Amino acid sequence: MAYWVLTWLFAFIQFSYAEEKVLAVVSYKSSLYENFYESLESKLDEKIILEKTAIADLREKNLSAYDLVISIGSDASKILSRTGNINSLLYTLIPGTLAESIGKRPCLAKKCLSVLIEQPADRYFQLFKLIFPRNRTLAIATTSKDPGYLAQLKSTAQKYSTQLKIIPIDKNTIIARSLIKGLTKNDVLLALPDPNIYNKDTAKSIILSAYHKNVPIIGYSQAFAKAGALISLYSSLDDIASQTEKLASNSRGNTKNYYPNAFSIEINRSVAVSLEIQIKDINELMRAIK
Amino acid sequence: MINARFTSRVLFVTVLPVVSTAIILAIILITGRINEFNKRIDERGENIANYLAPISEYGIFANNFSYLDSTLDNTLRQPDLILIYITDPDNNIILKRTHDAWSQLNIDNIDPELFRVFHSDIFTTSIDIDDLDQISVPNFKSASKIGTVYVVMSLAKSKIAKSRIIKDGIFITLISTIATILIALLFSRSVIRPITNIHKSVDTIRKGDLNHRISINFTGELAELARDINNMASSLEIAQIKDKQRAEDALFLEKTKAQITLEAIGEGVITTDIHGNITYMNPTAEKLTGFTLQHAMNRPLSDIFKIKEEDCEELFVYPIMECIQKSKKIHHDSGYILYRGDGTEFTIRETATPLLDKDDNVVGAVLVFHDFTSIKKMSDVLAYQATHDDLTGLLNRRAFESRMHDILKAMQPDDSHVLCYIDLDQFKVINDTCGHLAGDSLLKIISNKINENIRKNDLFARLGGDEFGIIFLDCNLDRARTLAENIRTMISNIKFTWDTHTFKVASSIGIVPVIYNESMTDLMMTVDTACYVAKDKGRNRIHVYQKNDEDVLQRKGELQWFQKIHNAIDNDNFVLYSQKMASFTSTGELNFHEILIRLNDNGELILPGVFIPAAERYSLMPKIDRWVIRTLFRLIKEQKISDSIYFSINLSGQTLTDDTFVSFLNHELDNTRFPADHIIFEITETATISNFQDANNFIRELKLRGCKFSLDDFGSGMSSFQYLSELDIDYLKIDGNFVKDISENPFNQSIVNSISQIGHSINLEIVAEYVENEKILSNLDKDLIDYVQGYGIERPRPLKELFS
Repeated sequence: MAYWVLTWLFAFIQFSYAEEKVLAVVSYKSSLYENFYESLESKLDEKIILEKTAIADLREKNLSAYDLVISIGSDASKILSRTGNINSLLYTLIPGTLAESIGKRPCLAKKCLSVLIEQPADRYFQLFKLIFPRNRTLAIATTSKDPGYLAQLKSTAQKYSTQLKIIPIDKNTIIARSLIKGLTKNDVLLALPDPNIYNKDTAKSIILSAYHKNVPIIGYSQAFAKAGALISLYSSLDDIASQTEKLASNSRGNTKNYYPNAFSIEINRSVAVSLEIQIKDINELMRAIK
Repeated sequence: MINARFTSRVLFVTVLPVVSTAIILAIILITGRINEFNKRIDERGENIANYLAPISEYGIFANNFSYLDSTLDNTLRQPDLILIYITDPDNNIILKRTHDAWSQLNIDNIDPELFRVFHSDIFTTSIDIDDLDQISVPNFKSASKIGTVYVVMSLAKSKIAKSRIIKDGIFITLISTIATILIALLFSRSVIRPITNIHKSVDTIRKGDLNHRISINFTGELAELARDINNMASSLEIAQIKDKQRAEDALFLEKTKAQITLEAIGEGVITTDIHGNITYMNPTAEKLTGFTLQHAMNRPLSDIFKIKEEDCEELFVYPIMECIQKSKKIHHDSGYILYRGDGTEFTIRETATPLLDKDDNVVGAVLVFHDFTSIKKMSDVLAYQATHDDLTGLLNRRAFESRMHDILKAMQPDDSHVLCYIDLDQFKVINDTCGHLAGDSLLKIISNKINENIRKNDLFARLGGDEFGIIFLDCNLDRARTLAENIRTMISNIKFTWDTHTFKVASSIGIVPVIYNESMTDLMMTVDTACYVAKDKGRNRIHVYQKNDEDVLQRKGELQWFQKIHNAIDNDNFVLYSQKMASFTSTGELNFHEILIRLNDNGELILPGVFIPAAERYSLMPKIDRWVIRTLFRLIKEQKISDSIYFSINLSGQTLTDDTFVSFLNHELDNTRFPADHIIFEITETATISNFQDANNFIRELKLRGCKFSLDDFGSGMSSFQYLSELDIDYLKIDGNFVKDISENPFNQSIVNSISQIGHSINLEIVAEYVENEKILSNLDKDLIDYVQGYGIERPRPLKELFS
């Protein structure tokens, strides 16, 4: 018994001190991924031996030798989602649409998890309610025709007693015109990430049109706020790296897609002044949302 | 420009660069301003288009046309902007805003001269709204064109502005040019004024005012130049004074010389003023006119210079005024008679010449005249002597012929004159017998007698030694014959006695009517011939020439031959022939050829029988004989004729009396080096007998040289055989007239034989000529005849054939 106890204990100790090999695969070499990798590396436990490679060098690696392979970015995630002989695969820094797409295919690794770049809709609805407690309609433009997604939005709106206006957008038309047509003076536009609607080319017109109609925009990125949105709620690279580190360190959970737990808020005070909207302090807002 | 005035040059030099620069600057300024203006319009148009493009983006993107309308309307307030329109990417107009005034403007046909169109494409503006853009939207497309905004600017104001710029530029250029010209004029005046002063002063000095000086109220190089010119003027003035002094001295000297000369010369000199009044007379003029200068001064020339023409008694006024008024030199070769105050007359020759001042204006006249009296007298004497015979005082031949020439020239067809030629018979006898004084005395007597027997108007002259000529003017032939007969009778009645000698005098007279248009030469030849005929017919008679007068014609024919023979001698128109004299007996062995002569008269060969009589009459035979000998010897020398040939040469009787012939022949023989004993000279019996003594001497001299002689035509003169023994001859040539009919005439046969026998008896060789045929030859006695000659032996042939 003592033998067995000692053996188990040794094994336990050995297990407790066993090193985990992790391979980070970046989509391509860029400052963004470099910053994310460095943030991730700084957050990982010392027991985790982190290696980095690019997709181009992926063939030189024996993926099965790694306990966990972290795909950073969409490209790396798409390739690795079709690659076998991987122990655990953690997709990070990918949009929810990609995660949904990958999730529809069988996971070739023993375990497949995703860290999304978006925020859960709840946070936006909470933020909306904090800024516009009443008499405002939250308008969401989307090209998605997924009834589940739309139902989830409606459900969330109902949860937060929010008047919701879904503006369906045909991505084959001039998006801004359709979106503007759908807005009215009392609306608040919640811009959820949808590249078909919100991109570099449409941003200016959407922002200008919205403001011509006195419609404030709640954005999904710090850049959106700086471009003219009233306020943005988003997760930074560091927030996403933290979430990725948590899953890499403890990947025992079963949930496939994870939103970053940490988030940030950016207010465009100039816009707020122009639209004559009073906004509370960011910290107060963040506390309220948490 | 080279010929331009200095002012113009200064102006040109000053104004041209400035004006050129002003024009260039104006052009640069105008074009620069226009370009700048255009650029500003372009920039403004482009700026407006570029301004509108981005702000239109939203309106187009959002389909917010009210926004676009208000934006474009606001923009249209910009000046010159008349139209803004926006097109979609397919260039379809989606919006158009304009002023009401330009609402009808056709966008598709905008005149670029009036409007400028600018455009700017409208692109979507990219704004980053994603923090993780590379992750979330990695492949999103870039900015795209959504339309084009067009801005139309009116150039009307621009054109006005450009026009104003150009006008302003031209105006400024003109103002600056005018200002430059004015300044240049002021400047040039300041520069030119001294030059003008210098120029005027130099011109004044040049015109002779050497006292003039340039007033120097300026400085610089021109002042130095002016001072130099003033110095030069001073030097010139000094030089002028010296020159003037020298000129005055020279003038005085010349005047003195002229005065002395005028006083010394033999010509009378009178000067008058322009009115013909006397202003000067030299001593000679005083002497010839009989007036002193003091008396003559200021008096009309005609008062002093009293003249008349020769052979005219009336005085006339010398045309001195014609000389003055017509500025014409007057001179009379004929001479005038000048009356002196004391009544003495002078023959003078004068010349009146206008006196001119330095501007060629007539201020008077100078009359120069020369006392020609002595010269005139001498001239008259000489003229008389030149036309008159010293002895008789009659006209000489030259004057006679001259007068006759005048008469013939003035003769009319109806005029009737007769020419008479008088030759005294045997006048030579008187001269030879009693000397020339006797002859001269007789000639004076006869000329006086003739003068008494002719009419007053008849022209009488002594033509030669004893020859007289008379032209009976306006006289018919009968009257002339009568007058001539009187003269002949008068002369024949003269018994001229000189010392102890008394001579009967006679004359031969030829009379010829003067025919209209006949030449003087023919006339003189005819009358001379008529006189000769009279002499030939027995002397002391008159021969009146009639038309077709045979005697005269014959005589004239001989005269013509005279000329031809002369020409033939001078021009070698004679041709030598030869005829063989064949040996007839054993004793005659010589290669004998007689040299004959022909005259080539323009290709026709004339036999000697035709021209020899004329040659003998005019004593040309010696010349012909010499020509024959000279030509023969030249041919002998040229052809190198052998010594075996003997030549027989005819000599005339005149040659026998030619004292110089022997020396001529000796010279020719020496020159030719042909043996003289191969030359046989044939002399005729008649010529020898006529000049027996001379002929004998002649033969003797040439025989000494070695020549041989043949007596030709023996028997024709029927001379005495006595002569044969006295002449040193070698051959006897029987007259051919005896030989040619020897076969028919026994008498001639006897004569030929007799002559031959006698010839042989004195060792002469006998030659029979005219042996024309075989019959004659057969009748000749071979024992008596040594050589035969004639057509039966050989016809005459050119000598050159013999030598060839």
